[in-house]
Amino acid sequence: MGDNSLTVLHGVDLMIRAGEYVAIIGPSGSGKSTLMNVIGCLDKPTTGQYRLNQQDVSQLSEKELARQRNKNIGFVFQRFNLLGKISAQRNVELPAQYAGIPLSQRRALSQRAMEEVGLGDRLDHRPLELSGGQQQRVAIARALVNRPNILLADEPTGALDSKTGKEIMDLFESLQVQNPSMTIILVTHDHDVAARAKRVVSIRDGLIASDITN
Amino acid sequence: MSLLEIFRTAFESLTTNKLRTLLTMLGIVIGVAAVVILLAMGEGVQLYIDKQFAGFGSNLITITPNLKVPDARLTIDDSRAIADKVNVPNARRVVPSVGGELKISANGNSISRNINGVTAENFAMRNIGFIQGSSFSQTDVENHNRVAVLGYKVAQDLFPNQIALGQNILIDSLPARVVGVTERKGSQGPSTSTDDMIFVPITVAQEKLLSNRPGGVKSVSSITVEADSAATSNQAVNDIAKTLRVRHNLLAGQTDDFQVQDQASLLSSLSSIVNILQIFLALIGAIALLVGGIGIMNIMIVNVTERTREIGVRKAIGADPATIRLQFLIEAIVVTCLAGVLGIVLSWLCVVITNSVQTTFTPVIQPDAVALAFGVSVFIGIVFGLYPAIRASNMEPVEALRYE
Ligand SMILES: Nc1ncnc2c1ncn2[C@@H]1O[C@H](COP(=O)(O)OP(=O)(O)OP(=O)(O)O)[C@@H](O)[C@H]1O
Ligand SMILES: [Mg+2]
Repeated sequence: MGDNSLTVLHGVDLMIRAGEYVAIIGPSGSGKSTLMNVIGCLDKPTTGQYRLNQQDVSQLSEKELARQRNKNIGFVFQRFNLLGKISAQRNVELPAQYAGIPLSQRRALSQRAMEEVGLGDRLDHRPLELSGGQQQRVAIARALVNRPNILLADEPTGALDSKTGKEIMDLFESLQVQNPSMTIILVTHDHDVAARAKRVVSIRDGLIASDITN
Repeated sequence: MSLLEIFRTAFESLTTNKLRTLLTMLGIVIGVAAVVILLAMGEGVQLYIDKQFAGFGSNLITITPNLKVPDARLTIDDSRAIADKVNVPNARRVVPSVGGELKISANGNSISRNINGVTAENFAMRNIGFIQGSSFSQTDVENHNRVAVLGYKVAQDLFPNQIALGQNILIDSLPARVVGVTERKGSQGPSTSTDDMIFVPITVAQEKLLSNRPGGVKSVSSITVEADSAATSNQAVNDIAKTLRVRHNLLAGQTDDFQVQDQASLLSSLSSIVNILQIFLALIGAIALLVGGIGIMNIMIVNVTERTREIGVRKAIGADPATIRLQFLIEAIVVTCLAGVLGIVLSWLCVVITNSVQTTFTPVIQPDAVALAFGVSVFIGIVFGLYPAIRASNMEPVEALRYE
């Protein structure tokens, strides 16, 4: 928006394979969210290329991009981005609805996703009737409902206390145990959180400062 | 996503955002109802005026004493002078009349009604027909014959389920024989309908029935003149005034002790008032539509922020732009059309209620007004309901999510 053009990411060269568990760290304003948005097909790079499953994303139509976001990618946002007027379960159900899954089936899917994040008893609550941690978990359930291959989480523990944060991380890891081909990419400020990932990419001023695989 | 699912989403959005839905509908309901009701009233007034004048000929001239001048009076001799072709060449018929309310009894019934003493020409001049008998004759008038013509309703009140013709009645204490019953005229607005009147020869009214009038036995309440045509009515008015001023010995500069009013000019001035009224009502209707429209726009624009972010979220989780636009289009169509129909129902109810509590004035719903008001409101509702959707569905999802 606006006329100020600003290059946020410069010459980032990053390759992530299926099934990887990657943490992206870096100071505030370094471009982590911007990178995640590109990976999640929410934003397009102005120059350069982003290839998802061998395919150049800039060649995809709006409709195909929507399909990618719907089926392949689960995104957990820094701000939860839930729809406030409908119930938690309905929020979780939406991606399944856009995927064309029939009503009774998607009810079951959303219920299962809510149970997976430990909110099986909060189905009918509206987002504002839930705590921050619970809202984040609803957002995670929504990201998971279509069983995506890629789970993107932008500071999923940022708004949570350390105990809840740990629970969320345990949840992510258990998901990957269940489905080893699922790729997890998460952004964090927290070095303890980052330390759990197998690969840590550190960004500074829109450049990759380090890329360490443990 | 199937159309059914899109409908489902649209309804969910409308029912979970009740306040927004209601406020949008309110603007449309008010806009539509106001325009339809106002134009229905305008038509009602027009019909009312038309009905008022349908009964009278438009070339009738009425002369009455000027009440502002003390002791002003008109006499039977004034009437004769006006009837003289030398004085008023364009007067076709001249009917003096004397009126007052008196008790009438017959057949064990007793009622109080307007008695009109007139000459025989009165009935032809005012297009009054008869369902029984006929008018009394000029001979009856000259011979002071005690005969009466009953108005349609008076005959019914006095002689329910009986033939009134030939019966004897008592007017005050004077016996009279019924020679005719007028045909039904219906309501004639504020002036008494002929249905509720009794007509007797003017000579009888002057000398026997209403002889204690302030102007004396020879005075008359009013004189009605029928001009040759509506075109000559103005000339006749001038001639009448000249004749009466001479007869009443009025000096130049002295005000008339009589008033002359012709129907043609009264009708034309009333028609132009009605036209102005209708333009005025249409203008208020237009303003109501504008206000309703602005109300719709406001609530829609206030919602743009919230809805832009909602669209960002929906796009981020996989909704494609076409699905989003369709959802919003359906939302807008459902809510605006429903409100438009409610507005029409509301105006219809108002008109029905107005017509059921009174009958003088009959508002009539104008199909043009309904179409116009509905069309304009629904158009505004759809355009402004779609506005955030079209804009946001063309944005990158990140941009829509960041929108405030
Ligand atoms: N819509 C925008 N318009 C202009 N500049 C933007 C916009 N969004 C982000 N930026 C700029 O891009 C840079 C990177 O932003 P980004 O949100 O990616 O940072 P981040 O690393 O996620 O920070 P944080 O840890 O605070 O979330 C910042 O300097 C920011 O000012
Ligand atoms: Mg960020």
